[in-house]
Amino acid sequence: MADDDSLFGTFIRGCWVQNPVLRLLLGMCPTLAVTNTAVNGLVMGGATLFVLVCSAMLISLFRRFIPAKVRIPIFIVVVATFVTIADYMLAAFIPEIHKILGIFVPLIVVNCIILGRIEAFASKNGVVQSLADALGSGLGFTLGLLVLASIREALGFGTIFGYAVFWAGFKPMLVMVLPPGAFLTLGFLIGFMNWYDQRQAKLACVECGGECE
Amino acid sequence: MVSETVQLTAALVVVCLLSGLSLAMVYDTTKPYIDENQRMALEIAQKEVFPSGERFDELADHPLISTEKEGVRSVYAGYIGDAVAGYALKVEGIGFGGSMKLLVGVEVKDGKATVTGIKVLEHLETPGLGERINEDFFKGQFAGKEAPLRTNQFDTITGATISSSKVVQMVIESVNTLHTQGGGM
Amino acid sequence: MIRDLFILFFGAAVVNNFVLYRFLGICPFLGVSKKTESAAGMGAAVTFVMTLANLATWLVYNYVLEPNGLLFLQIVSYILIIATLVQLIEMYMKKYQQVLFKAFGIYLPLITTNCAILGLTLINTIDGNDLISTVVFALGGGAGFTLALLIMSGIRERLELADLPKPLEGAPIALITAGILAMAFGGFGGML
Repeated sequence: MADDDSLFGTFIRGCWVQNPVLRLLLGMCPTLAVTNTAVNGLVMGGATLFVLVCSAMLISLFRRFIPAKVRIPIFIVVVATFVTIADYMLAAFIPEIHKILGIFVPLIVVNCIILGRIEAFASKNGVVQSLADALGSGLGFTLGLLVLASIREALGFGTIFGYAVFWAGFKPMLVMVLPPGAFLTLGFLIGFMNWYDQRQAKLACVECGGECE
Repeated sequence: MVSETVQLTAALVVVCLLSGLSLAMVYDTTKPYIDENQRMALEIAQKEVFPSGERFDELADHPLISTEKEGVRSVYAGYIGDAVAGYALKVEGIGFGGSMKLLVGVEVKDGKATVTGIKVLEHLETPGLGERINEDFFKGQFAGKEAPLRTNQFDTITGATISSSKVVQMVIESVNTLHTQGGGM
Repeated sequence: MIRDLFILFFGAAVVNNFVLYRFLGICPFLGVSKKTESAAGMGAAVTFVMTLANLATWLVYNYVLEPNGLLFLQIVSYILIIATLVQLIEMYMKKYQQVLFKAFGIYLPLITTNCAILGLTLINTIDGNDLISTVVFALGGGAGFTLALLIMSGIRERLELADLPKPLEGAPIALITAGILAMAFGGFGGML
């Protein structure tokens, strides 16, 4: 399924199997910095998705005209342009969140996910496929941010998206929304996913009676 | 036959030009919204720190305004009717995490300057700790205090010493300077 | 004056450490911190590029962008400056400074997408530093980045030999270590 070249396969691959945040460990900086509340994670993911989709489609459209030797600077200019657009749109229409995200919006331009997907896929494939790939990776990124942010907000403030999720006497652990909490949460989250994968692999092995490690 | 270097440079130049043009367009389109957001936010803040003021005017050449890294950035005169009843001072300083901007409301009456309220406009302080300078229990202690202000009149926040003492210092300095200058114009 | 510069340096290097407090430069932090030599090399390269990039962007902002009302070109111009700078440094080093190139040349291409560099230049502009402070700020940022990287690599080299639960091997334990390190650095919070 992961090797499926169909549109849906491409999309799913970006979302789950090769989830940028939880598996490929790409785009780490915004992941750790803006996931202290679920809302911030959502807006950040959305902005990154916007930049990724627009840049991927534009570059895919003109891929035959971009000289290989200067392709990286050209990719960078295109991505930086869309990032600036996203920055101004946020400032104009959601100023409170724009203020909170701060310099991490401009930093989308060096998010390795974007340049990575463009170089690996959009510069070599058609517009529709590139759209599927960008949507998949972008949504995967947003999903990863949301999971991390929800955990941190719940444990650190006792809420998710501002809605209280714990009983009244719950004392939140402030450290979760501070830098250490970010590292710890992501570390344990990935550890958990590894454990899950290894368990699945073991079970699969047992089923077919084969030998594993 | 166009050399390769020229071709490559041309491609780069074209892309940069297109980028510059589209950004200029987006900037022009969004600027009115961004300016309006800022204007509204400022108005709300002015009303909050100086509740009795009916309207506010910016005084561009007020002597208090400083171009140093820290200091008073803007002075807004608050009017009740046609008379200047007080001021809202936008003060900038460097807190724990970076640059901080405060709005300090001061009522000026019979040669006395009394603080009417403060608001933290921008800050880069730590969430949950330094960020608490924006909470009512801390902000509320400034209202009603008369110039000249002294440091021991105010409490700082446990666990956010640097952020809160900086705010106290910024308020004291700006209000006391305003007071000694006789309320300016 | 010297005191202010020292506070600026110490603040950028330790108190507001770029990696452990500001969350910038995490990708190289996780990727290159496995061995102390590579950590040192990357740290040196980053400090070097940071200083030059901060200077270059400071000049462009104060003499080109701001006076001409071209602030909307900030992101595009900054990242292009950084990318070009890295390219030029690499070319220059390959030709004239082979010793240095051997020490940290291979890390240079990775630095272009290092958010710490772009982040530093943006923060420098927001804080409105003058010329000398710009250089000191960059040196402090780079020093702090190198410090975090060196401590991390020292710990990770030892972790390689430790007996860990299998799911935690690799990225998870590195992140957890970083978390504990961040807690430690958080203790510097009241110093200035």
